Amino acid sequence: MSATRPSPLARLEIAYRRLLVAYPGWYRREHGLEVLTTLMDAAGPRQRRPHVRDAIDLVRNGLRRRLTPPRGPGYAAVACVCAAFAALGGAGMGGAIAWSVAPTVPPREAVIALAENAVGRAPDDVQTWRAPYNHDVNAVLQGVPPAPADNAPETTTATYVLTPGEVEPTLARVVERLGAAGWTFEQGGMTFPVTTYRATREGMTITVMAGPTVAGGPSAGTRQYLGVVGHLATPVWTTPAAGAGLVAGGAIGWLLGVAATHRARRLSPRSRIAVAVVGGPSLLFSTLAVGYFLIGQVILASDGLSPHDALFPGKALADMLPVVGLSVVGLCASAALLNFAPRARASADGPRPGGPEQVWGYAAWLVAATQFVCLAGWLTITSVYLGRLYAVGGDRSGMLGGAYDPKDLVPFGNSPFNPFGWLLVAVTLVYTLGFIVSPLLLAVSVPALTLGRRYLARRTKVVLVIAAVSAVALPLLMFTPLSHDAGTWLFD
Amino acid sequence: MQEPTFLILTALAERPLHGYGVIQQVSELSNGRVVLRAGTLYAALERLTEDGLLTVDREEAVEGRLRRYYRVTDDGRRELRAEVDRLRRNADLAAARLARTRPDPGGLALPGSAGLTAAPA
Repeated sequence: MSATRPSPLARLEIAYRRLLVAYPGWYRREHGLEVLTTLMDAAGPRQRRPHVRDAIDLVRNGLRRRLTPPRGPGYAAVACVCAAFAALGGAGMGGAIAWSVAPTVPPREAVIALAENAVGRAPDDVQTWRAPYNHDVNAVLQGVPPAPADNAPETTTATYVLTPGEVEPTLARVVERLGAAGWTFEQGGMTFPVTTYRATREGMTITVMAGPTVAGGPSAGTRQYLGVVGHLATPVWTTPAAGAGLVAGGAIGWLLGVAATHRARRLSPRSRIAVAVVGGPSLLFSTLAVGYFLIGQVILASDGLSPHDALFPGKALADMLPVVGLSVVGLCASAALLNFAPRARASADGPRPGGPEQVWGYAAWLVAATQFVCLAGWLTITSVYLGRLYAVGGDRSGMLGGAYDPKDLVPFGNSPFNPFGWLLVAVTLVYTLGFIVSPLLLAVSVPALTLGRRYLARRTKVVLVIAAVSAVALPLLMFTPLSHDAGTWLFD
Repeated sequence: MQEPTFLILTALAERPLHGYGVIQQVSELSNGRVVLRAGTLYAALERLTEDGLLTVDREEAVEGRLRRYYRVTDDGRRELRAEVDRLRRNADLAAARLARTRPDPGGLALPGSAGLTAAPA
């Protein structure tokens, strides 16, 4: 006995439903049944399957909705920032994964044995260093990128302290012995201020360095050092891995950004403002992190790129960790708001999208919300300062003299990995920006209260007046002795 | 304004229609020259609704089917009227130019003969 087969019409409907999967879920929920009805209405009486042109049209329009942000100011920019930030994260992750699966050679013992054979005695000091990427980004940003081999994933340095007269013969002996042992030295090498030779053998790189000891140190001028540094060469698959992470992250970020903008567009005005207040700073932080990476990458590229530079995205993210952390937390909060905040009511009688009521309403609520966030930043810093002052028995000079660092208040210690530390950075930024932003916000709220007042609801006007008053008050408050003390405590 | 958009607004100018009604009307108005597919139609309807030129008039849900009727808003009528005026001006202009143009005596233009006219009798 065969199972009951669906009727031809039902099969056609199933086929159309499958094609509608090309559209994003929100679109199917809002328009799916309507589109399906039209497709079924338009189907011929004997039609059993979708026409090819209809199928192509549905897939093309569905994908377009998935891949392109809505029309309107800022939507494309939001998707671009999301894509760039996710691309940076993907590149960092790809590079980090490639590095983490790299073998951990050369073992410390191998480098020590190598140095002992080359120099003829045990080293005076041995240090092992393992980090994903040791670029000093400040140096990079100042245009002084260190040589790639100096920043390899793991290094072991065997150091010898020598008198100035011993350096040249020892160095010559080391180079000769290592050469005899099959190490291939690069031609030339730096000679000032430190004589450096680089040699490779079987995927391992070593650097032999000799030069003066640290200037100002106890042995400066009387002693020199010779170091044999063993590196692990960066795995060749690091660059493809970082590149794949970059592309995958960028694509995912773009899709998420597009989906977020479509969702934001369908929220109620208040929900949109809430998303803008939470998500706006997050996007700003994302842009800062991406900008920091791009500047560093351009400087690195100007000196020639090596596979090791594929680890720079991860390093840039780590350097900007508080900013990156705040951005990620803010973006997650925005995503939650996008999912759970009330949506706009589908009403034909509501304010027309893009009409003056909507534009002035959005501007008013956005300005008011930003102003209140600035005010909250000032209140938070000032009250924490007062609370701390009270807790230390009113020791004002100690507070202003740096004896009671605000960072001490961060729960679990202030480290780049502690989200509470990120919170301190965020509040400090808001506190600082409030002084600058308030006059700018006033430049929007005053025209809104005059030119746009007929478009604003009564409650919106009341809220905007309070925001405008606080925009005047906040910069004035910053000049009070209390604010001066709190600012000194915070920044010193 | 592109032709499908113009035809959709024209189709809805008289009375509210649902999706399939718009497809039929557009086909009829263009003598079968413009055939709107559902994906393209709903992209246009969404865009025009966002721009405030159309709005949803009513919905009819019957036996698992949903028919949403769209109608032209006042802004939509203004936009359509402006487009009609523009097209009419352009059509009048082209007609006037054509009327002033002397017909080609041979009815055919030979290669390289552009700009040459028959000598007056």
